[in-house]
Amino acid sequence: MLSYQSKRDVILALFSVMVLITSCATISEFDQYSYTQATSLKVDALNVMSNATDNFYLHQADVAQIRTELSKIYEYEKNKPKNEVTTKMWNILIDSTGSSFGGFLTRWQKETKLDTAFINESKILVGASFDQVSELESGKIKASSIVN
Amino acid sequence: MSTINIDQLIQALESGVDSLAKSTLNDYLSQAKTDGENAIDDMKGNLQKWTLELESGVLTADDLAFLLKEQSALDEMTTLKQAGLAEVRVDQFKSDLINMITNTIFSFIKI
Repeated sequence: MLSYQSKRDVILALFSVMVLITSCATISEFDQYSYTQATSLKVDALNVMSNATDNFYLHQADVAQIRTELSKIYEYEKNKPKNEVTTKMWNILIDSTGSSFGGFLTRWQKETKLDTAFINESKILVGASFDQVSELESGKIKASSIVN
Repeated sequence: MSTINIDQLIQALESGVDSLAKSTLNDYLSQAKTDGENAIDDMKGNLQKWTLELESGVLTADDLAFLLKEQSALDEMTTLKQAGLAEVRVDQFKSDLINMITNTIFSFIKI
């Protein structure tokens, strides 16, 4: 049977390991603001896409506004610690040279108008892309769930 | 005077870690597999629909090319989401591990 001091040492060692484990989070915690923005911006983005049957320049102000809002959330996510995955996801969505929402806006501007069938199919894909951001955020651990 | 049987404590902790690891991994694999299967089904459906729409003239060749790139971007988003959820699982495992260790230790303290 171990002495009292040895037992105490074992318990102290176990608690030290526990402290070490809890100090190393892998990913950021759930952020209500991030989740709200992701779902809200999805609605705004799809509404803007619906206007793409019109001449782009009639909706230039709306496009500029959504681009600004997306830039804001990107900056917010980029500066959050342990948030690289979410940041990459926003980058894909907003990249004007890419093939998601940002690329859609670029194509609309270049072509001036887009066809209804294409817009409808694009909205499904862009909507699903926004959902990936929301689903990841909603899957993150809430701060109250973490053991201190 | 409190006494702790260290051998039994360690055995209990080892068993707890093993159960926790298996349940965490199984949950993650199940979710990832479902997501992957859904993504493939969606992609198959989209390709069939778009091909028909191209043939009927509803979509142009440029439209189809862009949609294929958008699909690829969505696939990348889905993969990133899974990567993020895997990281969440790691953090959840750590938290559950702490709980298990704490509860096991205190269950062994006999006064």
